[in-house]
Amino acid sequence: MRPGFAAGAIVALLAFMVITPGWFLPPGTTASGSLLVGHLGEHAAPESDCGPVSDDPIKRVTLVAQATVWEVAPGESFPTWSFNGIIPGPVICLREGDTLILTLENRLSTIASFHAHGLAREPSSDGTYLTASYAPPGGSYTYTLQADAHSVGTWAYHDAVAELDKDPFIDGLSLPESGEGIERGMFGAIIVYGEGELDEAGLPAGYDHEMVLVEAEFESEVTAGPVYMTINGKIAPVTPHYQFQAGETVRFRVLNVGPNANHNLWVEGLDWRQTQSGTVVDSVLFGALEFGDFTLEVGDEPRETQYTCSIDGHEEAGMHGLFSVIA
Amino acid sequence: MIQLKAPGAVLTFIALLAFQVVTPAYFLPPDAVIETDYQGHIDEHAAPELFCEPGGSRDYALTISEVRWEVAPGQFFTAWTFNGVIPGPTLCGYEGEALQVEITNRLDRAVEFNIAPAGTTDAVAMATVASGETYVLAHEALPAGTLVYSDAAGGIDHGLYGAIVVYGTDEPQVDHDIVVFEDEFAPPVTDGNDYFAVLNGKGYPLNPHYIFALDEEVRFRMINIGSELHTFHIHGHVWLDEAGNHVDNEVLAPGETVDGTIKMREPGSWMYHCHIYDHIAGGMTAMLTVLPDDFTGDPVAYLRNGGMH
Repeated sequence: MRPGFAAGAIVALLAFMVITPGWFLPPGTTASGSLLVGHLGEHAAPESDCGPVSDDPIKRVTLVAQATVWEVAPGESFPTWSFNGIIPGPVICLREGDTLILTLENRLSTIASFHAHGLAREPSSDGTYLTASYAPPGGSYTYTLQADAHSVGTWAYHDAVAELDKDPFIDGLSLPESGEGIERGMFGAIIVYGEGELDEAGLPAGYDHEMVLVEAEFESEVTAGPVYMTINGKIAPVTPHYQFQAGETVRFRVLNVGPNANHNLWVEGLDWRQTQSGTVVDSVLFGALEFGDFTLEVGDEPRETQYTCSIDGHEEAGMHGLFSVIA
Repeated sequence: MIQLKAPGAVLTFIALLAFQVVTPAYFLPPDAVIETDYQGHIDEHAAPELFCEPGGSRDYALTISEVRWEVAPGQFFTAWTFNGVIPGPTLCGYEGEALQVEITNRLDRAVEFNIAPAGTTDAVAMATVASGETYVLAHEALPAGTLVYSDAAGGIDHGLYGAIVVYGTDEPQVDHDIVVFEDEFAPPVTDGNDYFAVLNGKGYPLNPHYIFALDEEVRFRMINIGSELHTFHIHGHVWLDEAGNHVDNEVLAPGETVDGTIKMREPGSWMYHCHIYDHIAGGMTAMLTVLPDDFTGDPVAYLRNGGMH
């Protein structure tokens, strides 16, 4: 091979890489840096953020409360707190009738707790200051909770005590619950599947995909910089890029775990049907710690659009992403 | 030698007593026990608990006046109230009954007394009561549901509101029926710069501490009377919302009302609160205790001694 030809081939290849970067990225990554999720290549089984849910009625989970430098977008990071080093923390997936035995290891210098929404528990597993159900710095605490018939649905877990050991007096009042942990990213989703909602493999029955979408704001006091309005811990352009095939039915578990702000979720031209009640809405508004379980029919027409929170200033602060329907 | 005249001493003594009656908090030691407002399953109570018995009188008297309102321990502002309390007393009736309210206005401004179904601004009765005047408002036939009486001329921000519970003909049977107003008091109403987010007019721990028995069904008539969005979350309990979804945190837009019937499933003391942390920091959190099946004795005394945590 002549050297001139080899050099030419390399230049051409480099030029091709620059022009079409998507060609050379690992699967699941897009040129913008967003994580492509949903309908990717062949998938026989329905896709779910839970993966197959085991039928063992005892589910043991360990969460580690820890200091984390969190990257909300490439080059934009801030030191904060998390469960297991990720924001949101891992999705906890249960079946109706399951018992969750959750061990919290605390590597923070303040007390930390696991407070679950939606699950049945005794006060000693509530994760509150008044019940002293928290892990001391460097220590651990084990919680036992039950997913009963009333627990079927979508819920959040979060810390509820951080800093109460250091500064229990907020505005002159001794308050029993703290938002310090949730403000910094100590939260995650819980899904409880009812009878018949999972197939034999432990995957969602009757859906092509099931997605967990967590909305939360990070204030300037936490980031020591701009306010970040995040989807699954990230701001645009690195929020999830949802891609579905025309005609697919998708279940979206949507949570607002921000400490204070309202958020909504809107995709142009799509309706959101509440899975349990059947109520149809075109935009979903959430107050703090409000959760929704929606069935979305993506329609028969291929399209490229956005999902967004349309509350003033939230889209600009990162709360949006790409939503594609492919043929 | 100071010669104290007897009448002077007596007068001083009486004045001191009067001062104590008017401002009891003045004489409390700094670490005095804070009087939580215990409500619910206390002493003997007929079930269901009713705001009024069938066939009783529906004639009420409301006096509108300024009071020094203790919104949080040791923190006061000058509020406008019905009968000295926020919210005003819960009035009650049965669907179709006549209601008569004698309203006396001791403020130095007129009050636009207004009755509307909670969650709406569609007044079913209204009257202007001038400063210093008394007006008798008669309403012929009450509609079923939760109504709100208030001052439509800006008095809500100062505390001028209360509920009217009107039972329909086919009310669901519950063990307790509770009205919870969610609200916030902000400058300039609070005299200084302080901001308070409140449940039934008070911040933690002065707000109601409800006591219920295990397995009781409790109807909460949640009303957001404030100008901010609030939520209503109870620890350890899940119920069905009006659409039929499992929830443990109802969201109420300003002016919105939600009716929720919640079964008390787990013994122990639980927090209930608005889940917006800026509001919790403003006092919008409180306690609810579910007594175990075998509990005997005085629950209030038990809780005062730190029980059930």
